[in-house]
Amino acid sequence: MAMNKESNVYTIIFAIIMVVIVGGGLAAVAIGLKPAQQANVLNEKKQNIIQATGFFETKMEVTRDNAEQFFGEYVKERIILNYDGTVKHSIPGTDEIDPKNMEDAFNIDMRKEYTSVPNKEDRNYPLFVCEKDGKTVYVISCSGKGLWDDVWGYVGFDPESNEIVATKFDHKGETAGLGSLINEDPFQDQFIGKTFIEGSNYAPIKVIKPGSEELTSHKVDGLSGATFTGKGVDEMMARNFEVYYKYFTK
Amino acid sequence: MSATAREPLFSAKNKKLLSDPLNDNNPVTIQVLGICSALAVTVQMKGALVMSLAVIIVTMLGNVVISSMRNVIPPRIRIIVQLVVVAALVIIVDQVLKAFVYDVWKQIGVFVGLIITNCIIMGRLEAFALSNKPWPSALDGIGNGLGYGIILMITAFFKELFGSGKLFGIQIIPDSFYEFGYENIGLMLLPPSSLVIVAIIIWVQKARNPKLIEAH
Repeated sequence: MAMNKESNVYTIIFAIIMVVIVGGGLAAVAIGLKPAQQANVLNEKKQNIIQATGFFETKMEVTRDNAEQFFGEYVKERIILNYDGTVKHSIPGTDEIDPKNMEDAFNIDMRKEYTSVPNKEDRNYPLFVCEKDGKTVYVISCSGKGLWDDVWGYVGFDPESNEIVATKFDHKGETAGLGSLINEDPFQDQFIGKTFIEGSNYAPIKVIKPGSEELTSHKVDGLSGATFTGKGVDEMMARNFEVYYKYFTK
Repeated sequence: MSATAREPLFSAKNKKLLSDPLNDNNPVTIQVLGICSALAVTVQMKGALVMSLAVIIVTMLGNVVISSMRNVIPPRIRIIVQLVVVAALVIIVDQVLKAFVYDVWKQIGVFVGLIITNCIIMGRLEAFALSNKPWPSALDGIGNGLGYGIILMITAFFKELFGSGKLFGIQIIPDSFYEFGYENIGLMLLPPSSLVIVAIIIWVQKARNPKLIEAH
């Protein structure tokens, strides 16, 4: 049976069949792979939080595979703060993570808070109290905008010395080789020992042009060629850490 | 009709399909296709490698799918059909990477979507797969993917080496060089430097291969 491939009917039927097959196929793939993808995302979040505690010599020791276990072991309390630094919800670390429980700090998506809640006063600020061998570290988080897309980070803060013990930054689409370096140790480790508390005042940590100023406990060098990524990190820390400052100095 | 002897899988003609795009008919340097991603995804060799693999897979599968459908595709919407096939393949590659090699996906996820716009793929579908059988089309896809990948890797090699002193993320240029005042070239990390490198590759290639010199 010869069909006229030029005819309108043939063309339309072909298009309809093709779209149904391709659409169905893609939907099946997306649904089939979704659990694995979500598990990756959640485990990465746990990994980042544990890495920000500074409990381990190197970040390499915390992988996506063992993060789940460490997270259950070391996170003692999951807290959501209001903008004024008061506790909104607090649940013990032993509680199971239920993705539907919006009172659980782990389920707060910092990037969504930043992009879809316009007023910083209305946002939720998660805080993770972690403890290992008698040492307590508070993991605070922040999110903002880099040059191209979102940037965010988890920062471990030692309430006794008032110093940062480790940081874990990440980004969605900063320029590879330039702004993307914020998620690598040479940049992240600069924050160790820095603080955002000066006497009884809030002193935001500044990301400065490399070598332009003397470094103090509130300044780190930015990245050459990534001025705007640095400004984004600077801005998100200044805005978010103020909330945690209020919590720590209450 | 006498049964024509079956052509061997790797006949001279088929081998040429694989080897031609590597040199005489390189998609990037000779046909000047797929330049856009050669500029953007060449800052680090690791990213360039995964990108090359992804493009090889997509060109091959795209060629095979279109080639097996070549007798039923309505000519008037053939570009749309090609686009749909390529887009579907790219989305599948993206989703699979995200599910199974999450770290790699994070590195190059943004660029995988851009494979759709890679002119090499559409170019090969239109020029080859629509008029050839699936097996030669598969070889043609692999060959062109490789030809693209080679240029990508060469470009990334120079960009990463001179831009950040590393290869595959491992420090190559020793610290002592930096102590003597050596500095990484920041420009090498930016897209324009790829143009220079690709141009030099074209120059070297044309100088060495008399077939490519255009008669004037």
